[in-house]
Amino acid sequence: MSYIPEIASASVVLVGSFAPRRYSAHWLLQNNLIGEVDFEQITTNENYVCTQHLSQMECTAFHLQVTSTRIQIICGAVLTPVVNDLAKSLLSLMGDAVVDSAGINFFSHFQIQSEDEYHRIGDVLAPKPIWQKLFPDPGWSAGLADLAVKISFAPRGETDATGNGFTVRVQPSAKIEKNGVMLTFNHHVNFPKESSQVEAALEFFDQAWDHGLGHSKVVFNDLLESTKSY
Amino acid sequence: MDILERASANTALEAFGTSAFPALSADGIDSTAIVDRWLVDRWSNAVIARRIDEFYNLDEQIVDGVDPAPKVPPVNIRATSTIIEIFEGVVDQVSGDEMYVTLRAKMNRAAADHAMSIELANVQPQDRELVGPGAVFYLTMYRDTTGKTVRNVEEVRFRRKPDWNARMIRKVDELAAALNFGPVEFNR
Repeated sequence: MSYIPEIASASVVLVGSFAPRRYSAHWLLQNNLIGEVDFEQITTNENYVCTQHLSQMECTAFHLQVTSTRIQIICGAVLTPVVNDLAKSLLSLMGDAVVDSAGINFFSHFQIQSEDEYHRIGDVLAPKPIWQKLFPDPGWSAGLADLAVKISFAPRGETDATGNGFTVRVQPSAKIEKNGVMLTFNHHVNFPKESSQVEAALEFFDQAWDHGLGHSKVVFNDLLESTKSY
Repeated sequence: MDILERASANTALEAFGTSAFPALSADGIDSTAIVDRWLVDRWSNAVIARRIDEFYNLDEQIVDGVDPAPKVPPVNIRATSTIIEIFEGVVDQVSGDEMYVTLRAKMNRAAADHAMSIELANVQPQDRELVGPGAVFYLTMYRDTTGKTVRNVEEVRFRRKPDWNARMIRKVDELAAALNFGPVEFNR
């Protein structure tokens, strides 16, 4: 059986040094990064802000937030590669900006069919006997609230100097009322200062989006499937 | 509007004067009255910032003293949909009210490319000028669940910028050099 998410989304993140004031709706329109419909949606939204310390805007396709250290673009109602394109387009206009690291995140919310299966996922990933021993009150219970597993690109015990890797996260879903699980897949990379960080970031977004879209789907499905055999 | 917001509003007025807000200064009312009107209307810093942005259209200028407290709100997932498939499409030909395209699935990547036609009516007005042979777009097929309503939806959105990077250009230059064509001129 294949698990199909009820809700799926994605975001891209750049960490570095940015001037939020630059990223106004006018600037995005002038540089053909958005269309006129997007511009209208952004500038008529009361949450639109473009100041020295924060630029924030949203239209149907995406939500963009820029601070002095971080750019985050998150999909609107629909998971779409448009956020990845926007990140690349912003990078292509940055010249020699400082971009220390970047990340792509895929989120999926799954409706689990039964309460037993829902609890089994948490029990397999975070076994409860140790917690029941620590908190033995029969009126209490332990539940998985947030589990993050980092996949480093180095054997156990060895340090990966790059700091790059995947992080898979398991949480109860805040979007699905009953027996919902949210899985997150993050691909993080750091860019060394001695090379062109913007060029490296462009390369990353070129390759990692498509790969992550497919890879996260497999990881999410296999993770949920694997809890059945315990 | 709380005290901090009021302070920001006053700072904005000091920095820009009432002329920065033509809709409000048209009546010749003084700055205190303007701030009071903001209070009445419960305008936020976002509105102040947007007004300044619209009026000056300043892209590069740093505006001191106008910023609200740099408190960054969290960005939440806004999705309400289940993705059925995402296709990357290339326009092969435009004829009449239709475009003939080749689609490649991005999720089920083992699926073969396939050709189809899409009515131009399905292209957003802002993307119409981008439609032409070679143009790249995304076709997202999804099931949207808003409240208790579930519907299947297709969305077409065109890529607005060329998708080449420095490495690709270098490779083409190298290839051109190998073929004795010399550097290739791109509109970079």
